[in-house]
Amino acid sequence: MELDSLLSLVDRAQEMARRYDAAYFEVRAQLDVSDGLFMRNGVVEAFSLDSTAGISVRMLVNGGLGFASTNRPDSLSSMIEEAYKNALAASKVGKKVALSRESFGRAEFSSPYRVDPMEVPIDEKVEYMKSVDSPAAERGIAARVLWLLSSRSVTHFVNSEGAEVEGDVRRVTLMVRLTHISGAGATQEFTQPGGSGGWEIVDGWRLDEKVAYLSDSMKGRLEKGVPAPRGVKMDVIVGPQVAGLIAHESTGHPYEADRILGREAAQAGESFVKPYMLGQRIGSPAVTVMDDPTIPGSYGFYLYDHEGVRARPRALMREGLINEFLHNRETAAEMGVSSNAAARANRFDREPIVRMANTYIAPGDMSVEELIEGVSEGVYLKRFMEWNIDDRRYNQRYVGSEAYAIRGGRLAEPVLNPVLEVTTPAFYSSVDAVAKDLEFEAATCGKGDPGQGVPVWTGGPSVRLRGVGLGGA
Amino acid sequence: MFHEESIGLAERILQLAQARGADDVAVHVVSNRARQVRFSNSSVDVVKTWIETLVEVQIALDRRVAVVSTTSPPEERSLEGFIERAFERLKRVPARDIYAPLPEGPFDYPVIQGTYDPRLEEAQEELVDAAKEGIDSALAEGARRVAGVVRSYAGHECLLTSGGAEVCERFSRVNMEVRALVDDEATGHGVTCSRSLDGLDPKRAGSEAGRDAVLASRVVDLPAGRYNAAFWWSAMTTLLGVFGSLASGLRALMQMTPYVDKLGQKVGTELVTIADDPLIDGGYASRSFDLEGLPTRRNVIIEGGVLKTLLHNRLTAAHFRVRSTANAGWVFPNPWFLTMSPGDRTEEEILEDLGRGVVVRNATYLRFQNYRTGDFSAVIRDGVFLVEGGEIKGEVRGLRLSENVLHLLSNVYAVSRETRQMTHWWAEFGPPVVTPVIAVRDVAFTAATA
Repeated sequence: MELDSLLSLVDRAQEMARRYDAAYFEVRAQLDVSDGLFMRNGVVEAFSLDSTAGISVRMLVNGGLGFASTNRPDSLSSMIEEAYKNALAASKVGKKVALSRESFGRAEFSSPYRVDPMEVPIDEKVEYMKSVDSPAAERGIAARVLWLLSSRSVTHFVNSEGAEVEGDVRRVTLMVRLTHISGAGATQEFTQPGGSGGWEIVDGWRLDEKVAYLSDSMKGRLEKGVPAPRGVKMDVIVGPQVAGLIAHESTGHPYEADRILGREAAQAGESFVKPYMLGQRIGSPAVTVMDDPTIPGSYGFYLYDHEGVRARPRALMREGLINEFLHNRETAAEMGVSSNAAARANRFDREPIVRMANTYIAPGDMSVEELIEGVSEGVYLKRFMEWNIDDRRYNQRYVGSEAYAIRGGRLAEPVLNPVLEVTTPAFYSSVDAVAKDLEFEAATCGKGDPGQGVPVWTGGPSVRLRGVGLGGA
Repeated sequence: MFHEESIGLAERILQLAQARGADDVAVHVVSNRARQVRFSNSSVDVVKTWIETLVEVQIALDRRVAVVSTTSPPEERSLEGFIERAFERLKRVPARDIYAPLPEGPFDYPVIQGTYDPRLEEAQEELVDAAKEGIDSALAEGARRVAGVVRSYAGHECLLTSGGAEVCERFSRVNMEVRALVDDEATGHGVTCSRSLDGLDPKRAGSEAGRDAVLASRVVDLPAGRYNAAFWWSAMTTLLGVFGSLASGLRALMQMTPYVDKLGQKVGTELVTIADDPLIDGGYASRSFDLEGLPTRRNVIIEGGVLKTLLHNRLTAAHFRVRSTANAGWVFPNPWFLTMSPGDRTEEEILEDLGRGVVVRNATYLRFQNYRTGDFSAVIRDGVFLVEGGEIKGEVRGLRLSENVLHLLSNVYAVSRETRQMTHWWAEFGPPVVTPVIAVRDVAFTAATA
């Protein structure tokens, strides 16, 4: 659908929705376009071009919430009627939904760019990918898979309370997955830089250097790696990539208010965090965890959420204390607070639900070298491959890919697959120092049903843990 | 949208692409009306409807391949522009080193019974009723609160290719997941899925979830270690999905599967026979064609523990110098509907034979440390029970499945005679399945060290 004709549907849908006796309605038109290049071992396997465009409506009728969407202009009135009937049906058997009071107006936002990533010639993109692939190929890495994705998301949101928000965000990300095989051994790595803005952001990634580094690291550990310590307590330093994932999984997710209230119980799960825990200590004073959608150039960037609420940085954990949950208007009303603009929908036909944006452990003021110098015997778990966390976000596991022994305050030989399997309070309580080497990686955070993958940054500096157990099988 | 309109739309796109010089074109049009009822805390949260048409096109030009998909409405002007944009870009993509044309027809498609129930086109009230029944059934077993989802899909899909494929089929599906909770950690999970409304069994899903949640509220200690383990329906949905999906030919080319270089070799015990079988009448994921136009077929992936085939589209088949197995998605060849052959044990016998072992009802969040070696871990939940003397003693908290695909397959020692058709919200790796319960020796479970 052309953008103009899509946006023209918003007014028509709004008019139609007003004819129903809904206490509240919102209409969102959304166009998501992307092009992707999938390269395996230097050869383009396929090129993809996707366009997802349509319109959705959410209605509140007698406290029941109904949602409907369509990508067919001739189904607009059916869609509105379906949303109304759905809300009515929910009101008869469902809970009474209320929405927090917010101030609305007209607003626009976009991600500034110099070169539109959707307009960069494909051959230029292929050359860029080859420049990233080459360092790994030259080092004999057996399998190299790269997926470059350029995208644009345009939204036009209105609601019955006077909100009108237009958003236009362009993004670029490149996923790299490497497999090195030597004799009977195999090891893998992945990395994914990404951001919002123009094609120019790839220059800042220096991804060819990173791929060269990762390739050398993989070869080094297959040649010289020793088994990781098991079943011992020692000091562990996690690198920025690991710290960022931990911030996302064990602070971001359990602080999502819809999980806390049980709305995601059937699938993604609930949370070990309860409303009464606000203000309680969960970590050491060295740890502050932020979630900030407003960071310019970030992969999870937005300035207004998909309920029209203005975004702001959110301090989820401040100096070890649980400080703030992530809210949309429904959870905010239930907890008696204002929304902090965490409602996101990944495409036109998805309900906006509580999501993270750019979640990170705030940097400290030490260098990584200083962190290492303070460890007499331990492990530097610099990067990971495997991870998971239970659905209450309490018990988690991170298995290192690139990792080193630390002895006498110095990095020693590579260690193979160290396992950090730990509870959330134990992790955050054991942090004694945080470095200043803050880094971000792009990721697609999954949640909801139907599933909604939304772009996020996970970030962190190197973080030192005192006396944690290394486990594993 | 009627299927005549879908075929008409596909024809217009095919002509547009051929007029621009495409060597091969496949057009897939899906028209769907879907509904969902989500509930939590024993109450409905939201009711949803989707009315959508999806158009997907694969275009090949001089050994270059583009996959184009749009849920934009089928307006002539925008479609033309979209195809044009795809061509502009495709011409600048380097050619593939290995290419094969789309399969040439004529094709004789299998007729699969029981895949469409027109009542699922308009089943809002029935879904709400199913939600209520699932909730009530779980509460009746002793659950304190209940969450879940009921979903329905009904519509048709059509495929038209330059190789001569022209096929449409109607489809309907309905499924439900119920998660019952006695407290924050004592949970149970029930699933029911069908191609028809009559096949949905909310009572069973709710009751099973409720019963397990109650069982899980009795907690026993079991340290991390290696135990015999039985993987129940929901856990098997995830595991069987993984076992089957790792057979994708493209995964093998990417070194992203432990099946690399293992064709013809033992990868499991003789009890392990896994097939991709989209021809089952009434099967939740049965279908008659792949996206390159080939009629689907039953492919035995592992037979008696021996890896028999990988799954291919025409392009991965060309790499391996074999024929396509009719598993073409758009880029990755993948299984459609995985089945594991039943064994001869009742579920009670499996419990009795476990000794001091662990029953795992559900597995999610499965992540690989190394796809090539098959090392992974997964979160286990909704009933992780210690079994002794054939009886469930209580739930073990805090364990994690930390295993290897080949080790699991090579230690299967019992398979149930009952199988179930299952689908799973956590289906990152695989399609719906028909699965038995299996028992495996020497399974590794880990736990947090602090």
